Formats: sequence, C-alpha cells, structure tokens
Amino acid sequence: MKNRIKYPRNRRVWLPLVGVLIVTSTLVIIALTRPISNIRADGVDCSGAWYNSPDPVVVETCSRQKAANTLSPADEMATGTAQPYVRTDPNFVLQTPQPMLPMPDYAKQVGEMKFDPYNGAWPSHWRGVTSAWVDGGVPSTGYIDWSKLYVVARTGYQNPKDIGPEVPPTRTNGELYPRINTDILDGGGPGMGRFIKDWTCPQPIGDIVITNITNPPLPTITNPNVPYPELQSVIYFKAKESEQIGTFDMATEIWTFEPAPKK
Amino acid sequence: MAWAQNIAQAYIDGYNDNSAHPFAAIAMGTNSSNYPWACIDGQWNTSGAFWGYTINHLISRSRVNIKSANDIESFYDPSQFGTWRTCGGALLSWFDGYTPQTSVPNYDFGDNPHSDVPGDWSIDQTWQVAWGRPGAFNMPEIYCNGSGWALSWVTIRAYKYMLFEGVTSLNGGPADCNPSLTWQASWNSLDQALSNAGYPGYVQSYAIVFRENYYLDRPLRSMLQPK
Repeated sequence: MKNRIKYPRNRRVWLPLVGVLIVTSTLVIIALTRPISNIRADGVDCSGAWYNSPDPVVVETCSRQKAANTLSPADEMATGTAQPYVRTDPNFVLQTPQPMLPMPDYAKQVGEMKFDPYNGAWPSHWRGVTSAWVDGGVPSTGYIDWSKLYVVARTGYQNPKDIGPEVPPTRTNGELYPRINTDILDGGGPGMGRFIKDWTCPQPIGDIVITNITNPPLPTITNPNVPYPELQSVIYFKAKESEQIGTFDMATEIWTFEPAPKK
Repeated sequence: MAWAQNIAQAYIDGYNDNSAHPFAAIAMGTNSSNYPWACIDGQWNTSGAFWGYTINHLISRSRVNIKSANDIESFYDPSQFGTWRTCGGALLSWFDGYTPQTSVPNYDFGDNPHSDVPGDWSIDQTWQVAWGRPGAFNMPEIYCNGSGWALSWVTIRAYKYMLFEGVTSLNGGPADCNPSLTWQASWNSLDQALSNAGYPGYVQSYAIVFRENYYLDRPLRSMLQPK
C-alpha cells in the first residue's frame, strides 16, 4: 500500500475555500463592472443612437425615458440648495462697487467702426446696419459702470421669420426712411436704458452713412449724485445714392438737410 | 479656448462666493454662426469637441451647476451675410464632437432653423439638436407672436416627442416686434401653442431673459429663474 500523501487537515479546508473565494470575487467584479443595461422590459434599447432609429416606438420610448430622467427645474434647485455651502475662495470679501468717476478714458472715444469685409456688421442684431460709430460712453446708475455707446444707421430691412419662410425677405418702405439708433453691446448696466434711442429720418433718402459725430464738452463729474446729462451728440450723415447730406441732433431730435453736392 | 474657460470659471466662482446668492444653473454659451465655415466642414466637429472639452473642465460649485448653451440658428440674413447660413448637418457634426467630451447638458436657445430655411435644416435635424441627441435640451427663443416663433416648435413636437426646458425671452426689450413679449408672455405663448395642439404640460418652468434685461433695469436674478 502506497503511502498516500496526507495533507494536513487545515489545508484540506482552506484550499476549497480559496477556490470558492476566487469564483465569488470574479462574479462580484463582473457584476459591478458590467455596463448597466438600457434594455427595458419592453425590449427597447436606449443605450445607442436611438434618435436615428426608424422605429417610432423606439424614439418615443427613449424620449420619454430621457424626459423621466431629467430633473425638473424645481428639483434641481432643491437639490442644489440642500447641499452644504462651500466658498471657493476662503478669503473672499464682498465688495460694494464704487462709482467710477471721473469718466474713464475708454468712455470718451469717438470713431467709426469698420465692418469685417466678409462677415459684415456684427453682432447679429445689427441686421440692416449701413454705418456704425462708437460715440463715447454712458454710465449706469450711480456711475458704477460705463459702457461704450454705439450709433448705427439702419435700413428698414424686415426679418424673414416675422413674415414667414414662404415669403422671400424684402425691403420695405423703411429702406427709404433710414433710421439712426443708439446701442450698447456689453450688456450695459442698470439705468442705461434711457440711452437706447431709435429715430426715423423724416425724408426718404435711402441708406445713409454716418460721416462724423460731434459732442459738446461735458462737465467733469466727480459727484455720483450729479445726474449724467442726456444725449447731446450731433450726427453728420450722407445718403449713399443721392449723396444728400444732413445732420441729426440728439438733444433736439431735429434733422437738417442740405442740398446734395453736385457731382 | 482657455481664456473663455478662465473667464467663465471666475464668474462662476464669484457668483458662488457671495453667500447671498441663491443656487443657480450657469451656462457657458456659444452660437452656430461661423461664416467662413461651409455646411460640410470638419471644423464643426472639431469646434464641438473643443467646446465639450472646455465645458467639461469647468468646475461646479456648491451654489452653481454648470451647463452648456448654444444659440443654434440658421443665421439666415441675406441683407448682411449674403447666401451664407448654417445647416443642420453642421450642427449634428458639432454634437458628434461635443458628446464624447462631456456629459454636461447643452441647451439650444436659438430660434427654429427649420422654420427659417427648411431646405438646409430638416425637421429631424432641428429635433435632434434641440432634444434627440444625448445631452440635448432646449429653451427656444420666443420673442414675438406669429408663426415663426412658438407655433413653429409645435411642428417639431408633433414630429417626435420632445420636452421644452423653458423659453428664451427678450422680456419686452427691442426686437423685430416692438415691444417683444415679456418673459411670462413668452413662456405662455409656447405653452399655449403646445396645449392647443394637444401637447399640454411640455414646457418646464425656466425662462432665460436675454441681455435687454439690463436695459429695463431688472435684476440679473431674473435670468434662469423658476417660473
């Protein structure tokens, strides 16, 4: 009788246990790392490019699933508000904005703006602009901030989306009666609304180009309680086709016209 | 793109660090007007990837959730840009670049490009960028009454299921219609148009008030304020 290799009793116990442990661990790892299936009980798979599916049931089901998984604004606010507040900068000190007086130099510049020859006037709401100038700056309430003031000349172009896509874009009579308006591009600030103006030329002289802007000298303001004066610029313009020249006075809102120069 | 990321992060951090501010969702936004690019142009995909990468590296704070936004429109304007306009294929390509970079949702806050140029924007492409694509959400511009605004989105909803997170409004500020709708009227316009067509309750309670908000001297907090 051959001698049988006799394992110690404790080895006979732990060897099978190691095997069981390896198998169990493998199953746990597989369970934890496998992709969570998006296949619903009704068999619709929303994990891929379901939005391209020709099956309307798939699109409808996955859309509704997306909607159901989207936090409502109220829930998002509630969830965010419930979490503990953490200040990003522990040394943050809330500062009260101080008046910017006297007027900063960048708010004094006057000059013509050049359009990009390819892209035209920009930003996009300057549709129909034929000429644009920067005309100094205007303050927000209490002189907390200053923004550049732009003066633009426009035609009466009508946006096609207001008259429907089936109607080609047209120029209305407004093209003959050009407009001059002021604009602020950087978002502005409280109290700047009073500087946004829109004037329509009383004569049908077509598109115009602004040739110059003059301003009366402003008093040097150092006291934030002194109100900033209303707009007082004088706009010099020339009609593109007829070369009719004229001026527009923002303070009096009076247009003046001179005979077109002889060619 | 780092400069834009830095500015956005500084804004987010500044908002967060004023403890008087309520919790807010702040979106860093772009738009779909890039005139040198053609409809079929690889740069749309590259720019989507860059944008997604940038958004993904913004850090949410305890009072701020990060979002992405894109003013997706046709930008069709012959008086200014000649024959140029963007097309639906370009923005799908943008999403192809964006989506692998981040899971941050992107909000389409433009008008309805299919309504503007149906030949360049199919109804399906408009639906995909506003809702169908992963992470695609929307808050469409509802500035005025008329067929080009709220009613045009009923067409998209009727085409396929979609949810509207809210609306974008000029809140009475200057627009092609003067005055434009208030933000409440913008929201009601879309909600009513959908309800009348048999889709009640599809507009969530957010409203973006665009920049003219300032001109009317209303507080910044009216942006992204629950209705």
